Amino acid sequence: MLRVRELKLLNDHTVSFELAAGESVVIQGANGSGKSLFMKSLTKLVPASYAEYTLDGIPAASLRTELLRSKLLYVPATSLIPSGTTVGDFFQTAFRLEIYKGHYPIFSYSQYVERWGLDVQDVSLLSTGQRQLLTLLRALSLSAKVLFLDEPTANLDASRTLEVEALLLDWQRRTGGSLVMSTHSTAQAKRLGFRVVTLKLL
Amino acid sequence: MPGHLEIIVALALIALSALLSWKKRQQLEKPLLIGALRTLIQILLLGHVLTWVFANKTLVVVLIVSSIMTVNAGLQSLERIKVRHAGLLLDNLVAITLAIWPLALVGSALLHARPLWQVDTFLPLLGMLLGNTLSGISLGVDYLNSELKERREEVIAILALGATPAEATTAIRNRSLKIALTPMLNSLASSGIVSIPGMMTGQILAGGAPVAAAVTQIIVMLLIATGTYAGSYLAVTLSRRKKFSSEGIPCFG
Repeated sequence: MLRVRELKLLNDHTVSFELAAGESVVIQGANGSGKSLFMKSLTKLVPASYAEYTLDGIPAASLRTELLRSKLLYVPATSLIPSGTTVGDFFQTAFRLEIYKGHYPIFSYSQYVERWGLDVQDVSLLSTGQRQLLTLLRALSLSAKVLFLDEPTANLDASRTLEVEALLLDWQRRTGGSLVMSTHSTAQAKRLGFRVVTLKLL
Repeated sequence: MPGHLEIIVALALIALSALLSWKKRQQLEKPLLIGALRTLIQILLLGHVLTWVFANKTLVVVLIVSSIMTVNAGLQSLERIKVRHAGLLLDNLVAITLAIWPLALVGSALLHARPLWQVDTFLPLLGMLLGNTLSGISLGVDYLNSELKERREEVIAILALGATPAEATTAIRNRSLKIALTPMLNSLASSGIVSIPGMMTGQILAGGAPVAAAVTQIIVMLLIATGTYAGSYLAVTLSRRKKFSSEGIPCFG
């Protein structure tokens, strides 16, 4: 489904990578090995060069960048949110965009917003872990084909980590989409049972 | 008419200010003195150049002087912008020229100049428009560029959702324009109540009738407001474009 050859990252690493439809992988590697850069390069959030990059056989360069990003959704590890943003604003930031015109959330996030105590007046004041949960819930409610999750549980406690893993696997089952997630936890990689891709330091 | 002695007295006042700043270690003496010196030289020079221009009232001369003034405005607009990108000078020059030159012609028409490029109307108008627009552009572009650098991750988070570069930077763009326009909006609100605008002061000091001076001033203020808005809008838009590749990949910070 996704195929990239000789992707040259900003840190001069060269990576080739293939992802079958519905397949999920865990990306591992030391700090600075380029896990985030790899995901941001594929989602065109940082400049990178490549010998070949196709999605379903179509050259990525011929796709509208916004469309590509909505299909390959990068979910950052920490979300900076402008102060004064309400929960409603936070989700609307996505659904107000032109590319989601006529789209509705494919996932009822509000029960989790309530259960995890995220329903506050100003979400910029939430803790790092709580903001990460919100960002994840928003990503799950959009209509992506691949979720690029940048250490999605790095700031979460053990029980939330398990809840999030369950949510992610549930999303995968429901939508048939792929998960590409980075993690430093070998235990997590084992639990999920995804193919492991390791990025090495130069 | 005031002459050398009067200028020396006025300079002495600045020298006193600089002395006080030096005594109190406020580190303002250098900018104060350099600023005073620049004004002295630039305006004296301007007086001589205008004398020459008024004596040679041809279109070519007006064009040459106007171009020099415009390029100077472009160069000065860079001074207050901390985060600069390649091509910024050209962007600002384009914004200044497109916004100001037509307005200066409109202004000349409104003030019944014949021909439209008549030096004693067109050049002072152009000068006033340039000065004000230039400050709006510096403020706006400076804010835009530093905010994009500072809030890089925030912008990237919105882009990641599938936002266009324009959508992801709307809030920052709007705040940049607000900041670009604030001094002008303040002067629109306070002129006539708190301050007598500079041009009107000049006209009255030179013996003109206050109401006639007021009418001219109103026209000029409205032109300045339009020019500041148009120039800042153009410059901020051009700068924002430079922050993304043709594919929409962010390249700021």
